[in-house]
Amino acid sequence: MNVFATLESRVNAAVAAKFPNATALISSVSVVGTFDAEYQEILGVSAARPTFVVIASALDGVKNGATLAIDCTSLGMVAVPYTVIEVHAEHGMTRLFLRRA
Amino acid sequence: MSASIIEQILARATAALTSTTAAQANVFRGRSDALADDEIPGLNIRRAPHNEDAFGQNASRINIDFEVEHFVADSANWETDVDALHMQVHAVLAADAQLAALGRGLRCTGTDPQSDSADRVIGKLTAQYRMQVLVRPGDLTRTIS
Repeated sequence: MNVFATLESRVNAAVAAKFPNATALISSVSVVGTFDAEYQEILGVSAARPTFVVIASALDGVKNGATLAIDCTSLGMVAVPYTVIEVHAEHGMTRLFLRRA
Repeated sequence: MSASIIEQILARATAALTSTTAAQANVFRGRSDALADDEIPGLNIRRAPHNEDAFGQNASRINIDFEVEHFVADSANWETDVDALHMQVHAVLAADAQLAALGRGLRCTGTDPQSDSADRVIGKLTAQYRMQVLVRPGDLTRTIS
């Protein structure tokens, strides 16, 4: 593993250890990650862009259309259902773009 | 001072559409702020640029253009749903006697469908409408047609 890949792996591991604020239940498997739902106005309508970011290896095989339920205490969310609409691989992390189920 | 014939037509269209379609009371005029969940399905009526043709010394024909924005959400079939809403809107506008008294030749001259996806699918259809009125050049508040 080259120096950059090693550094990237260490950073990803640190992010995964320090920043998670949510748990997603996907196919009966609980995965810890970072949930966010940034405000976004689309076509003149108030909306949000919910995402869930985790270490890529924790989400092996997740595809568009998969369903999950998010628990995020800091946002007051309990088992809120979402559908995966996009899966983005980002340097060892995976970002799921979500839609309300 | 009386409102222009353009404003009168847009005001009448707004009144006619309020609570007469699936949008219920979610009918807005020239709204710039984002719509919230409880305001969809919704309609937004916007004034568009108009043009005027001189008819001799004493009359002008105004082509009055306005847009009706139709919003739907949480729909996998948003094109079908927004089309249904547009057909309700069109039927109401076409049948409104007060609107017909303000101008002539109401027609839908085009539509522009758009969609985007975030935490839900938003569908929007902008329908362009045109009416024609004759006015005296010195008085834009009354039609003489």
